[in-house]
Amino acid sequence: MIFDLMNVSYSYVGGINALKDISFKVSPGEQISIIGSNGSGKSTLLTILDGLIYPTVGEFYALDNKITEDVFDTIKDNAFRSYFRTRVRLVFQNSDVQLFSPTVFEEIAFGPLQLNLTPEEVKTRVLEVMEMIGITKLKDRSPHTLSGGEKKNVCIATVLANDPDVLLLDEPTAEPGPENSAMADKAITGVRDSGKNYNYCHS
Amino acid sequence: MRVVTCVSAVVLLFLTTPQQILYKSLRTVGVPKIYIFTLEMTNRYFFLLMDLVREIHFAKKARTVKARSMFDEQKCVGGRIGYTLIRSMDISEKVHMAMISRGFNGDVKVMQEFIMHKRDYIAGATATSLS
Repeated sequence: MIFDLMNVSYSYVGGINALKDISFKVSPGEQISIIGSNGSGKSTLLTILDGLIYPTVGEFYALDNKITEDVFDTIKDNAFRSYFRTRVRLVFQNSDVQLFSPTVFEEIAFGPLQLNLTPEEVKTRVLEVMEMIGITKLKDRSPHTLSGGEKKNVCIATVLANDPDVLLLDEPTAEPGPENSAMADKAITGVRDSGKNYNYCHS
Repeated sequence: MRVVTCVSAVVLLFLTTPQQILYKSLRTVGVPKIYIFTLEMTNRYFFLLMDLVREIHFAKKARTVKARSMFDEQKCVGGRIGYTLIRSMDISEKVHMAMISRGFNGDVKVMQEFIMHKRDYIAGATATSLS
């Protein structure tokens, strides 16, 4: 089982209830869409699925392991956490929070570098992903000079560079403007048709 | 005079050298990577902060129909500073989440592409002796 949520609820500080009693399972190869109005907790749910925040009530299992704060949020190295971070990747709704490096190339290289790959391997992987998404020409650009759609494509490339099995996409085509939206849509279609059987969860 | 010369040299360096090359060069000469990484991120998010402040200013300007008293303006500026701080904290928290999500565990790993050659040491020594 990829994900298993049992009666999960989440409240933000101040008592704002974002999720209430959510239960569902995601099996390998399954693709799911989460639909809901603004403020219904879609982003919060994806953040929980990525192990960045933890349910205030209920239990959450990912890749057959229970995700809890005391196991997952320690300074010490944790083998399962490292495994989880290579297998599950999240594209954030706001591209700017995901793009923190000075150039697009270094941005995409950030994830593979955390896997202790050699610089040559990192370089090859980054160039392959850029080619696949069609953003090779943006290689030396600074993220703040990119358009909304280009930023989203770079975000998608950053998560693919680690070759994950599970993709969590938080409103990937919600960039303002039809061109930006179409650009992100094209990138996702390219990923889907790349031959690898990804698990998708997108809102 | 010395201060003016130093500041001019630093400004000239920043204006004539692409930032990514500057950061890589700093790494090569031994500046700890955590400082460089922080500097890179500060530079990146400075632009985002500028955009945010500009947008808030324009939004306020677009909805201001008549001149307001100095006290009201000061109140408004205070509110904007507070809002900018809250937004900045929210973004910094999300950036941290994005870094964790991509496998960051506190140890900064960067690609080191520049290597100091003999000619670089000679150029450095010449520049130092001339100064």
